[in-house]
Amino acid sequence: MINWDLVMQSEGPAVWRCSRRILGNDSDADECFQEAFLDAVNFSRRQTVTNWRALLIRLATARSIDRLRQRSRHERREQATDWNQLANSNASPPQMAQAAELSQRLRAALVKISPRQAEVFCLTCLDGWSYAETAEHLGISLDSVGVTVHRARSQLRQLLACMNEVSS
Amino acid sequence: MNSDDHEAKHDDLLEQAIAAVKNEASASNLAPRTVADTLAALRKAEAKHSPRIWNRVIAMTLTQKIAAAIGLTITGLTIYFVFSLLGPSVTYAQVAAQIRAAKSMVFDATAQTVNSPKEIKMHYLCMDTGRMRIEMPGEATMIMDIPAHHMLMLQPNSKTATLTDFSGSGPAGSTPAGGQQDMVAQFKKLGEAQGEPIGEQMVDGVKAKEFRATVHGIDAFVFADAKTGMPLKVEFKYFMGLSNLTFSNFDFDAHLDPSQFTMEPPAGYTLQKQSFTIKGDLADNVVPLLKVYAEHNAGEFPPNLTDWAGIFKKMMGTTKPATLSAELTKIAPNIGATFGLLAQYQKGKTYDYLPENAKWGDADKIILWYQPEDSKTYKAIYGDLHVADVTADKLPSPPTP
Repeated sequence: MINWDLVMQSEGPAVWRCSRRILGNDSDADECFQEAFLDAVNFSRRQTVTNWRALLIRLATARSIDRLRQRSRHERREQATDWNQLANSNASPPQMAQAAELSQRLRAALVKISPRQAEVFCLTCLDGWSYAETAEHLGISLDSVGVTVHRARSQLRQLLACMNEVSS
Repeated sequence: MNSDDHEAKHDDLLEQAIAAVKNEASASNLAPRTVADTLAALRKAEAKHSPRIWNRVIAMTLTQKIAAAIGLTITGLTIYFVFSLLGPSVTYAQVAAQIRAAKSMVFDATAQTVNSPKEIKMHYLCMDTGRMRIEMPGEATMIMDIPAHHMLMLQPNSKTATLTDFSGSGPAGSTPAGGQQDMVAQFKKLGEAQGEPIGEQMVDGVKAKEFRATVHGIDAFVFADAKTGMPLKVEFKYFMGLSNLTFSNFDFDAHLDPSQFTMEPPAGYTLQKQSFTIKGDLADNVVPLLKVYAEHNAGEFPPNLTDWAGIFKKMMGTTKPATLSAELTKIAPNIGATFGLLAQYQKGKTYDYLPENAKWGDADKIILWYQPEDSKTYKAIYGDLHVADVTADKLPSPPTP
């Protein structure tokens, strides 16, 4: 029997922060956090889990990217994204507004690259996983991680640059 | 500004964005309410899989365990073909709108045979990439990668993994034998057309609208949440020798881990390999089934071709399980394909099965005939199991218009 209280106590905060970073709001992070734990229940029925943190963060990352994409589709249906509006939705002080704007743009860019690239990017660049850890937990080669990160960064750079040009 | 400057500027922008995201998150924390809700959900999820079913499974006899594992293959293949029937003719647009965006689908299937009150329970996980996993708790798990033409059967009790390669059925990425490559896409079709509303009823405490649709003479009952239009349950009645086949507990867009669909057996399993060609023609599948059945039953053919449970029981009861297991395992895909393909024909109209008309070895008496799609003639299977094309006037039972 898994002691979920213990797993929650030791890994919960890190897993939630991971979702929160990707999604940028608490309510979506709460939902993905819960979904990641429920996914972990299913996973643990099939095989023994040796590293709960890695498993939960991986599941939370995947769930959060899915949610980000769903949100983006929904927002597109509601109204087309307006980069000028993003640029103007500032609050004081100006540095905070600029940081918020950059965060929003990175999230908007993340939904435009492939889910796999987004997942690898988030694990390595936002959660600080090493390439070796990422390769091990995603079951891919070290080279594949390197190539995926490189491509993800390259596409994200271009997307951010485009958004920057549109808003300036 | 030159291109290097541009690149450096853009790189800087990405680094700034990463830093902004990291710093932003530090402003919030995991709320105690979220922890409590999640722990409650975890306990509920664990309770759902209470050990009672596992205890029952452990108490099964060896014969029952073999039966369950092979039955799973048959059922999996049957449903693979049955999904071909779910064309654009079942239910209503609101349901379709809800499920159209689904990339994955998880549901439970419960089947009950006509002659037995015992239920067979399975858990399905399907991805829109044509991969599917069917779990029979405690018994066996079947993983299908339809585009790759691979099927892996895991039997935890014997720690054996059987990898079936059906790549002879067509080029990689193709859909073998008229079945459907993508269960999720097929299921989405449930909502693309008309269904007859037949009332409202509660399904697991949720007010649901019920629709009935007839697909190839089979009644399908679709229950959808009256508020959201989300499908809650789909039932097939008196279908393929089953008194009831129910799909329920749908979870669309569930996050499915790709490792659940791997064709690599888990550590500690002994891997066995076999190859098989799935053929889309009924005769190619029904002849091996009739042959094995007749061999084990003093030359008699099955009394009813749609009662797969009856056929299975009869075959299990007449031979030592160890011997029959291998033989049944070998033809299990044929059995599954037969039931699935047969559902595409209408008895008396486009096919008929007349086991009393011939004995095994009779070369001039037809025991089964069917009319392939777009064909003006009929395929006939004779008592000696040879197959021939015949005209309507040669059939022992004239087809009804």
